[in-house]
Amino acid sequence: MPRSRLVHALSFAVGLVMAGPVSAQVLPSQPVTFLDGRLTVSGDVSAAFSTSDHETYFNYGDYQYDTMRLVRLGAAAALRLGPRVTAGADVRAEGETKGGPWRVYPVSLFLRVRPFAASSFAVAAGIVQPAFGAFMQRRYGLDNLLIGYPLAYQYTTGVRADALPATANDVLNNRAHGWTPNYSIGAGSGVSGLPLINATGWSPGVTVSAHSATMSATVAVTKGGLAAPGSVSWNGGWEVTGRVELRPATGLVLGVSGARGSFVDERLSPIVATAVSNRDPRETAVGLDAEYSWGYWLVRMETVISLRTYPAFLAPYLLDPLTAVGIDGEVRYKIRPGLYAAARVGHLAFGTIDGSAGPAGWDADVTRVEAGLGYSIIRNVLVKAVYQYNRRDSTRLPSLSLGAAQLVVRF
Amino acid sequence: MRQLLSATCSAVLLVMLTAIPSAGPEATAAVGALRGRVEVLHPLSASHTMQAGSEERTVTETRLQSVVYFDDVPPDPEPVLPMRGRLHQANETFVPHILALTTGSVVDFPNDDKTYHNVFSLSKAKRFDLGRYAAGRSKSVTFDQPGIVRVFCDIHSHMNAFILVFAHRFFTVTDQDGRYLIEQIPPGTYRVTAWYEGIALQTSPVTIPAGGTADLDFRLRQ
Repeated sequence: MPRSRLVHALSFAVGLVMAGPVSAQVLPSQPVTFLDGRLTVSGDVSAAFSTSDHETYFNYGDYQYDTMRLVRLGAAAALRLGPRVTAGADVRAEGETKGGPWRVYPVSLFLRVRPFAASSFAVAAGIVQPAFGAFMQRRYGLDNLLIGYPLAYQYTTGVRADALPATANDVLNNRAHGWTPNYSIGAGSGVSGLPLINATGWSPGVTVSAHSATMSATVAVTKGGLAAPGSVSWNGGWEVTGRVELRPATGLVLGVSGARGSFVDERLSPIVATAVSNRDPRETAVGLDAEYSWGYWLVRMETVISLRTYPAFLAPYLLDPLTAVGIDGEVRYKIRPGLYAAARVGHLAFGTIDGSAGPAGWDADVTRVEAGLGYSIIRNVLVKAVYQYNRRDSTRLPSLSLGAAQLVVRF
Repeated sequence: MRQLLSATCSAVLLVMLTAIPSAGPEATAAVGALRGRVEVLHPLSASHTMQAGSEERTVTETRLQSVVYFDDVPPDPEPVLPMRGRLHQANETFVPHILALTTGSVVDFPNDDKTYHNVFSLSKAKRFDLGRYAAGRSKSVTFDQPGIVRVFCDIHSHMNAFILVFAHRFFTVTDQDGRYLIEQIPPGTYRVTAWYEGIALQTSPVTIPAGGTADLDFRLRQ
């Protein structure tokens, strides 16, 4: 019963709050440890409330879940099996505050080994996240200054994993309809399109990483891609992702990411083989991000450039790659202890392709502005309230304004 | 259950921290002292992994120190003088983990790490946020109200410390062996409390002899 789960989650959160100001001193001050510190457990609960977006779907990451109305329970554990061996798990359960089905999924479940005692070089195998971008590395409820996601990590485009456009016109006909695009090849309608990056995705694979005081580098090879992870699709292809993070000065973080791999359902392979072109469906992505903080200020910027190639089946042929650029910038200022103001401006722009009526953007550009306040009642309990405005460059459901609130409890 | 105990302990302590001088024993010229040992039966340990150059280092610390203080405060002819404390940020840890000070005291928070820290507290006794500041810099806070102040770093969630602020001078922090000594106490019978990490508390009566030293040990169980 989703309702009762929601009530339980909120009861837990409210219970912690109602423990009173005295217990503010004694809530767990850091992740809880067991077994002489070898097992570390942490978790968070968040619940977001907003008006319905069931017409414009600006905040849906897929057809079912609205990020502005999401309840999330997260738990993470790390068990140190030896001086250089760690087992880790990060599990989440998500549903909507309005009710409906829940999903439970592991974000990660891995064994990590550091072969050399004097080096940070490490290999992790199991269920891992792709090594791409800055937003995915953060914990949503805790590190997200606002409630919504950056557009590149959430907004559903006209691209699907389980269906292919036969012509360029097929793509253009689904413009500004990313929540349920419909194509003639593959599965039928009723399935949402893909964002540039699935922020909650995980896939089986291996990561290799190394760190120093001023730099860290991670490469991941996963079955399943950035937009269509193995967890949420039949994407059986391999994807290579990599991220280098530089910290040239205190407070400054610069990141560069790259990805190349498959984004299409492996069950479409026999159909892909019949295409008139021999191009495999592939996604290539580049990410650039920067963060700078000083005093009470924090500024972040992230850009994702995505390019997807398709096989061509019928005229007018889809010969141009589908390109998209997502840019998000956000800023936070701490007004007083426990209270901050934050704002994010994002834009998602789509490249043009040639249809029978001439060149046109393959999807409608989107702009989002979100601004709000965050207030920590006590250290472990954060309340956010935001206003969000969305505009789509289309006559089809072109804009949405909404207010939302979120409660986040961590332990 | 543990939270309830913790909340109760903290509530009791808050009352004690703000206690006004009792109508108890008369002050005399010959003062005494109190010494003893606080044994924590199941001390907390904390560990975190941090980057040290190209090495990954796990820092583990067992928290053995407690605070011993007088509940009913001896009549004190001396004014309560403010103190100066330092809470370093080193190896992504606050050092020391516990400070005990008088009201009006100033605490410096030097950043001795190579990374940013952002010291803050949302405690009732003192809410502050020092913002992010780099290695080699220090900021200061005046603690003008008695109470428990939990100190955290906004960037490193494993970093935390306690500052206990008293409206009198009859308190001390134990050493790593749990031993303590409080001097210059007017003779009389008082209640004395040992406090540990906000999760264990024990109060015992003690008589301070004129010109002598009383012994009082505690065994704290969470």
